[in-house]
Amino acid sequence: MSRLELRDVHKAYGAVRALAGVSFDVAAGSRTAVIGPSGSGKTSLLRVIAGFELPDAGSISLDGRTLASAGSGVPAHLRRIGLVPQDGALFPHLTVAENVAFGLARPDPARTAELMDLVELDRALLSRWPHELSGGQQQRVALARALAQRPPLMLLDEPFSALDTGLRASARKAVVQLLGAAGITSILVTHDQAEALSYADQLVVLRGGRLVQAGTPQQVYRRPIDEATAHFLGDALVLDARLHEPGWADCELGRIALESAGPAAQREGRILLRPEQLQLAGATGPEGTVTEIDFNGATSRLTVMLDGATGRAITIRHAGVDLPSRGTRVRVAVAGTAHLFAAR
Amino acid sequence: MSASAESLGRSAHPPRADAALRRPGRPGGGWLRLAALTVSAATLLPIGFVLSVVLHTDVSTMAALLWRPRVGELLLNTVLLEALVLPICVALALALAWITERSALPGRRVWSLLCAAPLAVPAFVHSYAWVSVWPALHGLAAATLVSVLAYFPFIYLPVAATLRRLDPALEDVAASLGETPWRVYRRVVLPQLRLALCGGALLVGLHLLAEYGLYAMLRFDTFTTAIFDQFQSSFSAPAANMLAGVLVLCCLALLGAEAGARGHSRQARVGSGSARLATPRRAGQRAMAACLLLPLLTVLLALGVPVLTLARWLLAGGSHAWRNPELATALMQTLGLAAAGALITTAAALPMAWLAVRAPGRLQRVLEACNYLTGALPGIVVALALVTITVHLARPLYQTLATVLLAYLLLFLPRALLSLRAGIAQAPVELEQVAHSLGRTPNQALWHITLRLAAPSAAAGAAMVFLGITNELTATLLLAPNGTRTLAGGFWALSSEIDYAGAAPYALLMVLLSLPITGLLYAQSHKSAGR
Repeated sequence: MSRLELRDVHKAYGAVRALAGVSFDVAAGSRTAVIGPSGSGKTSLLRVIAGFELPDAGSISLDGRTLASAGSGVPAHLRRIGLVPQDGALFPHLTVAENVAFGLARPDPARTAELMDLVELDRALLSRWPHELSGGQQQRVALARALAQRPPLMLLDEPFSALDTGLRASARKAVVQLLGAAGITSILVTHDQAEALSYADQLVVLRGGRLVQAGTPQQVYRRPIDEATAHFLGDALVLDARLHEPGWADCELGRIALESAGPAAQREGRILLRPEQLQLAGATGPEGTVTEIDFNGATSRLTVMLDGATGRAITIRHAGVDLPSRGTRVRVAVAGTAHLFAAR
Repeated sequence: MSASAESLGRSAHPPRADAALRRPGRPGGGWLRLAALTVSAATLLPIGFVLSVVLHTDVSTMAALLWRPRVGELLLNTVLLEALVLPICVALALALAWITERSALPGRRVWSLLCAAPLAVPAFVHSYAWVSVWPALHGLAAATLVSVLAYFPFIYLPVAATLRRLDPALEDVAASLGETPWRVYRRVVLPQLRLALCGGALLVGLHLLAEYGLYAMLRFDTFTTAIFDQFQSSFSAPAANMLAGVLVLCCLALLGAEAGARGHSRQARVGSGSARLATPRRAGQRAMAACLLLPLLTVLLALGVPVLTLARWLLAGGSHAWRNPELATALMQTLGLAAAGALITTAAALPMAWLAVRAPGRLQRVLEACNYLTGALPGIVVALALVTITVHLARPLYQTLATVLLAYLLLFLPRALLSLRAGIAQAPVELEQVAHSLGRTPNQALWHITLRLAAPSAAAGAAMVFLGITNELTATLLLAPNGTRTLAGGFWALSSEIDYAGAAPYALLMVLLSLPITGLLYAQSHKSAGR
């Protein structure tokens, strides 16, 4: 089990700042997901950890050993950090067996076969060529290849993005189990928020080369540091609120309990609600009219236009079998507490 | 995936204990950059030679050497040759490409192969065939005829390949917008063929400037033949050097004209969607007969004449011509020189090709341009430069194997470079990085992954260099050690003595050596078209 520490890592490509002072720790044996929009520095971060690039400033260490610090570092081939790239990147001129055994000091058929079992691939595939495999199989071979050298740390660069939606969840689950059982520390880079939330023990949000927030997925989802992060991680309803009484917010949806009160002096602020907190209620709550119904099967998204001066339209995730029709008058109730954004 | 922790080893290894922090080399290692720099510096020798000649000659001498009726006559010949051959080649290649790719002509594949086949016959063997059929043939008209027949495939091959790759949907759209077939061809198809046309025409133009044997045999004087004569008969270095300077200017003018004509318009298909094959056009019987006539006539002249002439002289010479002991020596020496040259040139192209794909930048583009510029120079200029440099600066290297191999490297580096670069581009950098992450050093990753994947392209490039050296005449004649006799040299010596029957086996061997590589070229042009 290995612990990774990044301290104030900077990396620039010419005038473009890819990483501007990123620091975080990855606990031994844990799973971290790094998430951010494209151009946020995710890939640069991965390349710096893997050793394909050296940081301009700052340091990276694994189990207390310095891997890189300001302009010098251990070359990638001496780091033993496992890597599963986006499309697998299997060597096209080598068979599956040769690909898996690539990182072994000498050919070891027994271990190669064992690795195939580990990633639940048929041993019969060992003699195949990469182009004869499906996308999911290629991804598993890439994982087996990376596992072969018993890496202390595994880097996963959007490894599931090439897979079908259905396959993606099961592949993710399998990787989590496998790495967990082996106690391998891992970092997953992705731009898919659902994937990041489900994979990680720790979520790291990057934007513009800076670390915006790090925490457990629940923390970051429920208590995002700013509105952009809130929207990035899923549908969000952000409302203006008056804060007259400590622990309570008054807004268009009525009086809502706050998860944690803001500074005593703060009189106004903005609060976050997730669509799953909003429900169609029978008797209480503000009134509105259903204006749009987006039927998605198991759950549907309803747009409700609230009565009142602002006439705000809010989205509600509705899981009931009794879908209201357009024009129905409804009342909206809020479950749970709201998150108050820190004042700028 | 049921993970058993034991099989993975619960205590994962830390990074290797001896792994000290290192200052990074430049990405890709300094030695590749250094090697690329060295090779590029070497490719500047011929241009440097021409510049130093110009700088070290005083103006009055230069004027006396250049303002001669002789120079004017050579310039006129060169301009007329280019002005006649290029348009005819372009028109012929366009027509043949359309007929073999778009018409419903029976046996289109065979015709397209036959249209590429004249490349396997060295240019001076073309003129040998025509002169022995028609001894009175000489002058501009003869030079034009034989040049067109020998060189049109250089334009035909890329144009046909591009035509095959064009998305027929574009033509359908143009037709749906009310354009007649002829206007569709002119406004939609032709502009998309421009890159292929320009590239092919440049190649032909440079060959016209550089070729010696073809024009010497037809008694048509160009700068190259004149320089060669000056050098051989009177060893008049200043006169030859001045003419070489003018020849280099002609080359630069051609390169500039091509760069201007190429334009900047986008050639790639916009958007995704795979192209389907164009439906061949059916035509009436009479039109079909006309369509058949052109390839038939072209193939008869460009392939029939050399093949029949060779057959005739081979029969006339009988087994006697084959018993010439010098023939075997020439074959062995040619194979040896061509193999060594191909190997050295490919190795020299590697650093440049790697940099061009993995670390493109301004320096790399300048270096690459040097390589291509020298490759565009005629063999006679490169040979003259190396003769002068070795005689004055490195006497022990004069007329040695090392010098002739260096000349081959300078002349044929672009062939190796183009192939190798395409090959390396097919090995994505992610594969090298995965190899690093699995414990391979950068050099091991380069060798085991990238070079292994680029090997087929490297071999193709080496084959093209091999072909170039097999048919090379001028540089070999001027630079090779005494006693060297290559197939081209032997052929040239015998046919100059009008021993056509004795020369025939040499020509046949050259054609046979060229055939597989011409086939490779043809196959590559098909592959680059995606089928």
